[in-house]
Amino acid sequence: MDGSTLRREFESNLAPVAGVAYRVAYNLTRDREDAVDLVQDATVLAFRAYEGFRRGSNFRAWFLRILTNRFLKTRSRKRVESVSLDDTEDVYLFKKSREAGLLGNSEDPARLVLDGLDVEAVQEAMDRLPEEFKMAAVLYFLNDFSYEQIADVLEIPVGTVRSRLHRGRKILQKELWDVAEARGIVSRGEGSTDV
Amino acid sequence: MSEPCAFDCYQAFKRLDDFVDRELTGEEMEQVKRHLELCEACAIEFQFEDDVLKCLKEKLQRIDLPPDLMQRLSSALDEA
Ligand SMILES: [Zn+2]
Repeated sequence: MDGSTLRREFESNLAPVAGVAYRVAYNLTRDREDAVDLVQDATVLAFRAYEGFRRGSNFRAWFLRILTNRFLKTRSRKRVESVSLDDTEDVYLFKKSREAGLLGNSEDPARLVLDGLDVEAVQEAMDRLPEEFKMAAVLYFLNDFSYEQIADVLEIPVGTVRSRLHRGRKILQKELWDVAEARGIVSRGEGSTDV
Repeated sequence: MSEPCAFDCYQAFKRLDDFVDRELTGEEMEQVKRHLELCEACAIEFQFEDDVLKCLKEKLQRIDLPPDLMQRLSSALDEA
């Protein structure tokens, strides 16, 4: 295949993936220009490696593997301090919503709590996850990937993906409730009688 | 083949995350589903967890894209 054909084929694979790659990058870098830079770097690296890409395999997973590896190599170490993993509780949002008496009032109580949170608030909550949990969560939320596909992108065992996603969502639920409380979307300590 | 018997609340709850992510085996998916048909308390809880995840996916998938993203990627390839 000559250079321009290869380039055209690469770009036609990249086009449907560029958006999700940017959103992944933005969640990881939390800066719009840094996110574009990261996707650009990944694009250049991926194109250089493209002859080795197996036709018919998942381009999106392959590209995101390059992107997440690049992120890990280049990110600055400075991070928001993540929460402790010890105090994760099962179905925290559900319990809190029940305590606040929100469950009976709506067809979709989850949306009642979350609708008032803009995407920035959700990302702030995500930022509180330990980095390796956040990477799995970002890939999970932005793609319809199975655990196995996430494992393939991050090059870690499926069991590790599973436990990071499950524990990560517990932490996330607590953080989301705290943000919702801080923003007055749900009121603190209201109706604390359990059902 | 006989129908799998339903899980109890504890057995179902242990599988909540895998269930909402469709990561259980076919038989276990069925057993959880059967429990949810019989147990309203668990059904409400499972639905809530599923809705939370759906809602977060929707929000994160709506992050605005730079309008010229593909052009910028093309230019990066030109310059490389
Ligand atoms: Zn039950």
